[in-house]
This record gives sequence, C-alpha cells and structure tokens, in this order.
Amino acid sequence: MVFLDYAIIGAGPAGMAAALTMRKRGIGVFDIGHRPSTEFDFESLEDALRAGNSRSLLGGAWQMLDNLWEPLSKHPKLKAEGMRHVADGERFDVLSGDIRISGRTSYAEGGLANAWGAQLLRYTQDDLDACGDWPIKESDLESYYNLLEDHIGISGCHDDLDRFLGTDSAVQSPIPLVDAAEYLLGQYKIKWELCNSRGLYLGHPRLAVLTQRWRDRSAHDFGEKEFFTADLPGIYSPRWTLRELKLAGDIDYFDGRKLIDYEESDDFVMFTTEDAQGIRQQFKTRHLLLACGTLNTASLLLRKFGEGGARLPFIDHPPTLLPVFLPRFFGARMGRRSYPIQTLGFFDVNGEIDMISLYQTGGMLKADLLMDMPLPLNSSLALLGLLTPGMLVAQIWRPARACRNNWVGIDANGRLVINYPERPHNPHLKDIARALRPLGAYAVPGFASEAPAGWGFHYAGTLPMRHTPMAFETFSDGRLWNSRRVRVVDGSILPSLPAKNLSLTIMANSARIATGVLKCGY
Amino acid sequence: MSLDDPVVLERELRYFHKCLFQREPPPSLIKLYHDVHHDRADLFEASGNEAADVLKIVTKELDAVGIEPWLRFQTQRHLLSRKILLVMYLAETGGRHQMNFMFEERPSLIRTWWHIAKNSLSGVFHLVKGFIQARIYGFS
Repeated sequence: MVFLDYAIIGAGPAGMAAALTMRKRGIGVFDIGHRPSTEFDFESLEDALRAGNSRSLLGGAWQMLDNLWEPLSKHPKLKAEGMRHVADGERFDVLSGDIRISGRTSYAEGGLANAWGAQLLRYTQDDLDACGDWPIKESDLESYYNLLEDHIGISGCHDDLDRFLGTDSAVQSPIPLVDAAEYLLGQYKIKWELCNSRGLYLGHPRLAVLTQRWRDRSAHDFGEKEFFTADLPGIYSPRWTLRELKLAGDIDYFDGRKLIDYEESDDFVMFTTEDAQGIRQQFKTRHLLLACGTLNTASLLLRKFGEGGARLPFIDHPPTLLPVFLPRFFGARMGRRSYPIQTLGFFDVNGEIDMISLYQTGGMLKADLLMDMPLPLNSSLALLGLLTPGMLVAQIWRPARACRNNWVGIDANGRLVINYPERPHNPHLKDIARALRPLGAYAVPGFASEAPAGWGFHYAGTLPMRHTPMAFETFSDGRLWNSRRVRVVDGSILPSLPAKNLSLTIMANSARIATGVLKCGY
Repeated sequence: MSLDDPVVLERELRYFHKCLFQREPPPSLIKLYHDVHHDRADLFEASGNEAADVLKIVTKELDAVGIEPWLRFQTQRHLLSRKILLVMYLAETGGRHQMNFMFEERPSLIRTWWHIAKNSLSGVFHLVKGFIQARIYGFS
C-alpha cells in the first residue's frame, strides 16, 4: 500500500493552493482530471468565423447547439466542445420553485476554474464583518493572498477600488478595454465625486489575465476565445500550477482517480480510489485534504455520514444581469479585441456592498444572444450590430448567506439535489442606474434578468467553518467536526460570501489550512 | 414526405433563409442544415402540432420571423424557434454571411439612429403581422 505524508483530493484552485504550500513534503495529489477532447486551432474567434468551418465552432457533434431546445440546459461558457470537460462530473438538479435545472459538477483537471472569469479579489475585514459568521480574520489570509498573487500574476490597477480590494497587490498593467468601457472609466475619473455620493465606485478589474509575460507563461493574446477553449496560457488555471509541480517533481500525481471512501484511525487515514476501469486502490496518509469542490465534497460526505435525508446549507451568487447602454457608441465599430470583463464597480449603500462587473459581449456568438431580445431574429441581429459597441452587461452580485430553504442533499434516487427557492431580488437597481447616468451610461431596471439558480457557480457554505462546529461543519483549521486528520479546503467551508468573487479567498484559505497541517505536529 | 426528408428540409431552409437574409442560401448551408438534422435528430423532436405548424408556415409562406417570437417564450422552444435559430448559428459560423454578422461602422450618429428606428419598426411590424397570422392559423 502506498503511504503518503499528505494526500490532496482534487486539482482545482483549492487543491493546487494547498499543493503549492506543501510542495516537496511527501504529498500526493489525486484527481479525476478530465481534459478537453479537442483543441481550438485558431488565433482568435474572428479568424475562426472567417474560416467558415461551422463544426470547428459548433462542435464535431454540434455540441454548441444543445441549447436549441432547452435554453437552460447548458451555461454559455460550458457549451463548446472544448469546454465540455469542465462540467461533466456528477449530475445534480437545482430546484427553484417550479423550475428544475440540471447541471454537473467538475471532474476536470483544474476544476471549474477552467471556465472562470478570472477575477481574483481579496476579501477585506469589512467584507467578513458585514456578511458575518467568519471565524477567521482577513489578517489570517493576507500573507497567502500575497503568495498566491505573486504565483498567479494579476493585471489591474490601483485606483478608487483600493478601498474595496486592498492596496497590497502587485499588479501588471490593466487589460485593454473596448471603447465604451474606456469612455465610462474616463468619465468616472472626472465625475467620481458625484458617483461616490450616489454610492458608485468604478475601476479596473483585478484579473488572473497576464498583460505581460509572468514566470513561464506568456501574456494573453486577447483572441476572444474564452468561450471555446480553456487552453489559454495567459489566463491562470490551476492546471498551470499542477504542471509546474509535476515537472519539478514536487508532488506525486495520481490522475484518473476518484475518491470513493476513507476511514480514519488515530494514526492515519486509509482511503480508497477508483480509476476509470473501476479498479480500486487503497492508500494511507497522515492527513487527508478534501479539495474536490463544494458539490463534490458535499456529495462525498453526505453519502458517507448523511442519514435520513441530511441537508447541508447551500450558498451561491447567481447574479442579476442588467444591460447598460452608452448611446454615443451605437453604430461604432467594436474596436480592439479584449476580454469579457471590462470594468469593476462597487455599490455601497450604508455599508451594504454590491459588486458590479461590467462585461462586453465580444467573444460570444451573436446567435447566442438573439433569443434574449423580444423581437424577430433578423431585427434582433441588425439591432445587435448597432447597439453592442455601446452596450455593456452589468452582472451584479449581492452578499450571500446561508438560509433555511437553500440546501443541498441526496434525493430518494441517490441524486444530488440543490433546493434554491430563496433569491431575493436586488433592491438597488434603480439607484445603480441613477448612479451611472452622469457617466453617459443608461440602464433600465425593467430590462434586468436574474441568472438561473445554480448559474452563479460560486458554490459555498455546505460545511461552514465555525469556532465550535456541529455535525457537517468544520473547525477553522479545516478539520471536519468528527475528525483529527481529515480537512476540507475548498469552497464548502466558506460560511458566507461577500459580494465578491470567492476564488482567491478559497485558494488563500486552502493555503492557510495547508500551512496549519504542516505545523500541527502529528 | 417525412419532415426529415432532404427535399422538405431544403425547402424550409430556403424559406427561413429568405425570411432572415432576403436571399438564397449558399449550397454549403443547405448541406449543413441537412447534416445537423441528421446528426442531432434529438434536437428536432416535435410535440403536438409543432411539425404541422412549421410545414404550414413554409408552404403558405407565412411570416416565419414574425410568428416565431410568439412561440418562443417557453421553457422548451417550439420547433420553429429551434429551426430558425439553427439557421442563424450556421450562417454566423459558415463564413458566407459576414456582412450580416460582422458589423461595419455607421458613418454618422444620425444614420445610426435612423437604422435603429428602421429595424425596430420593422421588428414591430413583423411581430404584429406574426401575431395576427398565429391567431388566424391557430399556432401555439
């Protein structure tokens, strides 16, 4: 039987942050590790469209057309043939009132992060205090934020958003912006006092998107391929960390393995994995770190410990989507190629903070957008061409906390189910629209829509950290409530979510816990 | 003739393409339309009267783009919506419709707003016409 000092299950953001911290210490990383089945052979989306090979974009088996029948069958970022592997794990259903949406967890090498927007934002102490229930402080994470940002490479700017994002991050120059976004930020620099008086703060996003070469990764080419492939070296993925650690020989990597079960004794943890052929193998370790991703970890522990329909709290950030129009750019050319996320904003109302990410629609097929307009498709297409140079889409997040009616469990058929009926509507849309107007940007709250339940992909809170955990909760050092040697390091353990992307904090918290394991003395 | 008959498919593609782009489709698009129907028959399963609706729209040359939005607002899309949207996907990715999908800069703000107004009014006109036809022919 193979013995490892430390075993990490999962090679997503949490797993790789832990592995980076524990490298060279006798760690094994176990991962199912699905990879893409195809490559995207074009320099840019524009080149691919000009080439006119429909199958290269829509998929060899026309995978991009899955949403023809059921619009909610697949998130736009997960439709392309080259992105399918990102979410082809365990099936789950999300129930939101009468609506049932199906999804799949990630078994991919690098996890769901293969499809992320790459915003890496620190939580501040104000964030943790405002959303509550955190048994650790921002100062407990600070050194790990620094370490990870240095490892990953962040582009952005120190601007008005420093009060929300912190001043410590060393950043490369910000990504190039489309004309409408550049104008918006330019206007904000002139009228910032008025905007601030209305609660709005705008600036550059902080992204794991390189604008300069960093370590062994080249700068991003801004080919607008993000919806078609995850193989983009200029955008950080935990896969790059995995590759580095493997090449350096700093970890033992066991790919194609799924964790089936584990048993803990006083001195070690014995765990069983299964490969794609169904062959099982047992391993022994002093410490087991579960970094499988919130839903995968929840599924494992519910099946192991859950009796009589146990339910775990479930938190997500499904955003409100609000088109924002800058009419002076209607009819203009789209201009330079860029990245989906353009600007970042925070809306501060009496200390309650919403996050606003403004996106441009380049990088998506126009056909993906047409059904959202309540007009005949030919009119919609013509209008899209006129309006999109002057249109940004605001994704607005609110803080998220556990609530009684939002839970995850295993149903009578053994399927993972998320019940998510509670989706408070954003009460600030009119005020946000009012705050944008002085900048020449106009939004109609009536045009806002809510992303479907489960489409926030910021899953968290199923095994929350507590000072004194109860069943299905964790200590602040990541240990399960009933364990000494088994820890959870992924998003499961975040007890609540400020209105900010959680990825960097998942990673920093994982690195913090991993450091604690190295120092625990047993 | 069955609805996946190549002749039937070609006829409906030619009609939908004409409604969308006011011209005949290139031969490559006709082939792709057949291919998708053959490879992904699962996407074109029709319930109730959907298939008959599509056939009627094509044979009577009704306002397909005007009727389609009235059938669209459901959890699962009507067969007409699926077929017309398919034409859009194939046109965008087929490399022969760049003038429709890769937009050129308008010379002035006035011309831009003129085109916005024109396309909006045209859209509303087709919606009204489509609504009336849907009622007359009982599409649902």
